Amino acid sequence: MNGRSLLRIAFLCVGLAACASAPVVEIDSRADLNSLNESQSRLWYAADNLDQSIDKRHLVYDDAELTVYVQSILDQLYPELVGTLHVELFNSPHLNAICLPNGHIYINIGLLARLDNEAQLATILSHEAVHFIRQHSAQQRNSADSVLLAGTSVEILTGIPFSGTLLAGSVMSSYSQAHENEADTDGFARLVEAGYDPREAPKTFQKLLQEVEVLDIDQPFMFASHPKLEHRIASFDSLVAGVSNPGGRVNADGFLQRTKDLREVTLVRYLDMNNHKVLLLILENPVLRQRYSAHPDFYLGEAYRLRNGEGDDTLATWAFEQSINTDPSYAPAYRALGLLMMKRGHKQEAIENLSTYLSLSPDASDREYVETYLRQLES
Amino acid sequence: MRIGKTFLILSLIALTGCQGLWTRVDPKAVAYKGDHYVVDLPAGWLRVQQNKIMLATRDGIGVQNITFVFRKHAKAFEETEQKSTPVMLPSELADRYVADLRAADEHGLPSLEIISDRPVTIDGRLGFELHLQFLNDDGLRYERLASGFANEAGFFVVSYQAPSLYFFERDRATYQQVLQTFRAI
Repeated sequence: MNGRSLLRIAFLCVGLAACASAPVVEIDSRADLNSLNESQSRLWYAADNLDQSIDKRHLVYDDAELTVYVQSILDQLYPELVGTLHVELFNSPHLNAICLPNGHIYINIGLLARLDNEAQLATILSHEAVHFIRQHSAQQRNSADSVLLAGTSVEILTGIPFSGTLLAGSVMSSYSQAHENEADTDGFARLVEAGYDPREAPKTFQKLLQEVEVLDIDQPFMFASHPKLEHRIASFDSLVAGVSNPGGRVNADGFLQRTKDLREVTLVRYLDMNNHKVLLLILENPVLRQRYSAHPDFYLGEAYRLRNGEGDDTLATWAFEQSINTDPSYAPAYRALGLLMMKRGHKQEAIENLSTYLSLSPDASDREYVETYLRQLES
Repeated sequence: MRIGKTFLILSLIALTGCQGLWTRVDPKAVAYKGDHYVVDLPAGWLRVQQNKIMLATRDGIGVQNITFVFRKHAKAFEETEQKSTPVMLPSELADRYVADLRAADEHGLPSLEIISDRPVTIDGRLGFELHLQFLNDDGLRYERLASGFANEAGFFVVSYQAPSLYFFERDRATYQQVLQTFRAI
């Protein structure tokens, strides 16, 4: 190594040290984007790459109207950052939301579909936005290195499916307790300022905690950690207690109307994943159930079938029959009932239901199976 | 993040290269015994067997691979924790196989599409054949053929996977030939 190379390395080290010690710039307005330090810029770049990866895998849920609606809530909460904070619907049925260091918030369709009203959505968005405004990713010790490591891991696994796209995203959105508290407190202030009912904030997390407990979720994503959730609920309760005359907008009807189709989509996704626990959690709850207008009994029957416990056969039969009574033209219920009867050895009922299924759905993708079963039953 | 055991094993094979584990299929002895099955592999392909999964590839597992999996009924679908039974209908086995694939992905593999799903006979038993496609992390479209059935011993699935562009069709016939030689024992 010659003297010039050594000199270059020395300059580089000095430069990196200077960068490392530069204070993190918080984003209170668009103008602050011009003053980001080196670490922030690197994180921003990594977040942009992650956006591209998400886009390549078609993980953004494509519903322009709903996205505009959710973005409008975010813009109302943070008018000074319109055009800087962006929200996308993430095509995942799990309960989660993340904010990347470049101001892109991804809210899972599973979470959006489970909220009760606009005020709860605003609670999530205001909380996530604070992570960006305070630049918590850049403030996290070793965060930048972790992101690079995560990026490398993803790179190594290139070409192999199912490696999990958001590894880097998980690292970027894994915050300390202090940062979470700050996001709760600052986000809550915005919620109140924007005129939403602050009493909905703790309800948002109570709801999530209940679901996490019922589903026995152990994944380390944002909303699933018990201590964090319980702490957060307590924190919100004390914040609400500090508001004199709490009240304000909730907008349940408008929210539920706008997210109606999304709820049906997530129901299909849970069934596709054989996730009977979530299906039962939703459809055995009369309040939640009434929000699912299209054939809830069919999905309930499928959930009983998948749970396959004692008496579930009978419950599934009852639910499929209910579905047929409610909508005699709904083909999947006949198929499900026919297969159930076939397994029970009730040949005639099986033949009737499977035949009805094929007559109602002549182009069914599983026609070959059903015809095979009918031949077996009739032989 | 949830990652399936099968994926982890495949990743390990890919990342480490599994030095010393790979063997080239000898044209004079193509028959291999796996866990509860025997099968003839394509001559000249590379083969590796680890943790009850046998895998064969010609150019690398990201380019094409044929994978053989046997699972006991109680652990047939590890991600969804669903079981199989010897009398389970093939359409139900196919549904559970697809659900397990979706559940193995952190986000439910929203890019997964079922191109076809039909009954087939494998080793004299009624089973399923699925033709699937999905995007990997780089947005590269892959296709997979998966043929499965259940017997008294457990659930068997043989799958062939390759990028849609060029590679999938290139070795599809080879996979079908391999599948014809598959015998449960």
